[in-house]
Amino acid sequence: MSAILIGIPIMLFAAILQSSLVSNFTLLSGMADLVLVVIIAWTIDGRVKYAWVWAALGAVFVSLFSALPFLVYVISYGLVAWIAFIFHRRIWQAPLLIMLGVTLLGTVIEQVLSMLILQLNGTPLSFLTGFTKVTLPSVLLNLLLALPIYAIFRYLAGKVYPGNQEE
Amino acid sequence: MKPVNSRVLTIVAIVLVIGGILFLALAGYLRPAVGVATEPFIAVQRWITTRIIALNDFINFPRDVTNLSQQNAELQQQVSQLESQIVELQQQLSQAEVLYALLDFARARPENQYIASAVIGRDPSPFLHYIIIDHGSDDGLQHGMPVVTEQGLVGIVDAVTARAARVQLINDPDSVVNVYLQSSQVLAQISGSVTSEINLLMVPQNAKVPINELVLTSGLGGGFPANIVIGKVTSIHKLETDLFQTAIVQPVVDLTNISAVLVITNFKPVDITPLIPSTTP
Repeated sequence: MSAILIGIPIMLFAAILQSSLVSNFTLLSGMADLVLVVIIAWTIDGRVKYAWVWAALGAVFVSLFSALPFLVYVISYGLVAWIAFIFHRRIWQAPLLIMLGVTLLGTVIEQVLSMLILQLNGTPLSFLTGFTKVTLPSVLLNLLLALPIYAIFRYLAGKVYPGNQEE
Repeated sequence: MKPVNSRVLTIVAIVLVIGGILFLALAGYLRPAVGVATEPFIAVQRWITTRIIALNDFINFPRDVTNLSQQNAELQQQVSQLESQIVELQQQLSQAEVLYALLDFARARPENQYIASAVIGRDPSPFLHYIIIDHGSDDGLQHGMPVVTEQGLVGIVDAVTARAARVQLINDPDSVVNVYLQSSQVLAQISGSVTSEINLLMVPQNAKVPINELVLTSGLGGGFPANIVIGKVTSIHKLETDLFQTAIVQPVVDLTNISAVLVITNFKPVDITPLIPSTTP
């Protein structure tokens, strides 16, 4: 329960940071997604329960700031949390590798889904331009963000679940 | 004759000797002798004084270091406070400069009513180009109100809450603005893109579009007031096989670094959607 309660201010703070700070640092047209990386870092820790709640909270809070349809964040964050959970169960010995792998995969999934939904909504969008100018730089920025976020949330998980050893 | 008492003689002799010594001392005749006599005492006194001062220094010096360290820490704190004050004042100055520029712009166009707002955030999605401003419906903002700076057009209010609003920038992929080219008076449209590039579209093939041609809002469609500066044409793409020319427009407003904007509150956008004929049979 404490993990769910602590998730509310953390995800809200992450969404605010994403909108006010992280969005200002772009590479080509790509930008990092702090909330996505936080969800992955939290989910792949073996001690963590209810990671999907954090994904849902992240989707709700980011949607407050974004003009992108709410569904994009719900689906992409939920999917990424599920992938992170599955990967962690299969390859639990190398959490850092999972962190980087899921960040790469999760960013691509989120951005491809964004492009698909935007195209369905009638936004003129070149898939190739979006992938090369937005998605690939975003992947790089998320991978750079992944390592410090992983360290921070591993420490936080140790504080929230002090008695549990990582599975 | 009564013999003089020997004791009296002794006293007289002592008085005379003392008086003589005093006389000699006052007259300065004893100075060398006094110097020689006091030299050992002075040496002893100097030795003792030196040791006392050393002992005093030994006892008090660490306390002085502590005091100096405290003073140093206090001064360093003051310096950091002053430095942060300088940074704060510089920020306020730059903010004030922006606001003065906006105020000048607003005064130059008295026909419009403005609300100045600070930019407090951006859209988290890299595919969309929106900003979030710190005024909302409580301040009279409504969907569709144009947003400008002293340099030119920024975008349009897209969504409003009580205390904040989301503004769609002119470089957003979904943004379309009807424009005209200043010298040639050619009507066209601008549209944004995911890469923040602004494209000039629908320019007739026979129109001559010079580089650095100024692009302004035409007011057609009712979405924006007329004659707001948007940018300059930087490059033109003309293919004989295409129906229209296209061009790239460099916006006059640096859309990636906006800190404050003006919302035109007395402009009522016209929704012409019902007037557009449906393409479906």
